[in-house]
Amino acid sequence: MTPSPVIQNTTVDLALEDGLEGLALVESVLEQLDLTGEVVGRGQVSNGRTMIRVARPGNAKIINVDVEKQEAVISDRAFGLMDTLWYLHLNPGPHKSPSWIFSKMWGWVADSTVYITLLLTLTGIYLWTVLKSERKAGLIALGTGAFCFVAILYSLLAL
Amino acid sequence: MSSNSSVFEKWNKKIHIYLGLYLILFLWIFSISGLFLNHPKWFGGQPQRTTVEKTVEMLESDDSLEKAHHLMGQLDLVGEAIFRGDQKPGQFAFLAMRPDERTFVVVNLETNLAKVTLVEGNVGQTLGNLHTFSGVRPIWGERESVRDWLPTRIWSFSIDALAVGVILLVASSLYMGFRQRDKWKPVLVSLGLGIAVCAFFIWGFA
Repeated sequence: MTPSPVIQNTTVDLALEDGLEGLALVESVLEQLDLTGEVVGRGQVSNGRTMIRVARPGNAKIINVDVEKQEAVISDRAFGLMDTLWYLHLNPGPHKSPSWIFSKMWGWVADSTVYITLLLTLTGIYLWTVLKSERKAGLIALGTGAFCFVAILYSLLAL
Repeated sequence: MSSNSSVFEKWNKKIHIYLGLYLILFLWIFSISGLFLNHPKWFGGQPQRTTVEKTVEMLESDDSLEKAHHLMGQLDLVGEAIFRGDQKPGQFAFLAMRPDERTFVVVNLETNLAKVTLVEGNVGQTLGNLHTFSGVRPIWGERESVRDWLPTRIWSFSIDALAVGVILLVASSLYMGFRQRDKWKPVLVSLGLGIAVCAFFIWGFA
């Protein structure tokens, strides 16, 4: 199995206007490097440098921009399947509103999955209630599950 | 052959019904908490913090977990003991965590005075913590992660069991779908669409 991530560093020349800082600097760098993704970094320049992180499922690029030298060192990290699934599982998540259109779309997919799951469980309950032969055993399964659920939550929250 | 097939079909259906009913509350809580994690503003508001100072007695031991449990007993705390990173010189610090509250304990080893900060979350934060409460998370930066609270072990086992249960539910649904030859087309279309969307996000941007 390939170790994850696979890291590759490249240095690229940039053409940055004097005094460019903040989000304008971030936009300019990303445009010149033709990069899109979920961007972290406000373009605050410290000691002539700033760092931008561009993440996508399966790939993250950390761009160290040297404003004075007008160059960027791009650390390209390619992730394997498990890390990609991990990334998708955690995102969008509670810490940052997605800004990239595909992150937003993934958020919609995640939300839809919840709504569809809730709908499927409700239709499943309906289908069970009309099956008279399964009512008693089903009630036992439902009751046992509910008892275990409440007991575990009680031990986690109320003890 | 057909008899074996009908027995399997019967039990597949029964397992689908019973397993689904058993897991339904677990499935709902993880679905809803996942939704809230993606929409933290729905339950806005900061957690409530209260800090008190208490004199404690430190246990003479090399085992940090043992020391933390001894302190938790004195401070009337229950939960998972978590050690975030290395201990700073002159103090002993840990976090006692439950899904609904976190208690940060920092003991000054010279004075044996413990600063105890209780952070209580609201409904949304509690749901979010339940979703992620496994007792071991890289985000805490623990040197060695151990599930030291029985409810944590039971809850993390429940998370695993739910994941396996959902896989079984999906597999039994697929079997039931494929047994109905007249519905192959919509089954294949919906399955294909789901696989295509997942594949797009998993491999589309690598």
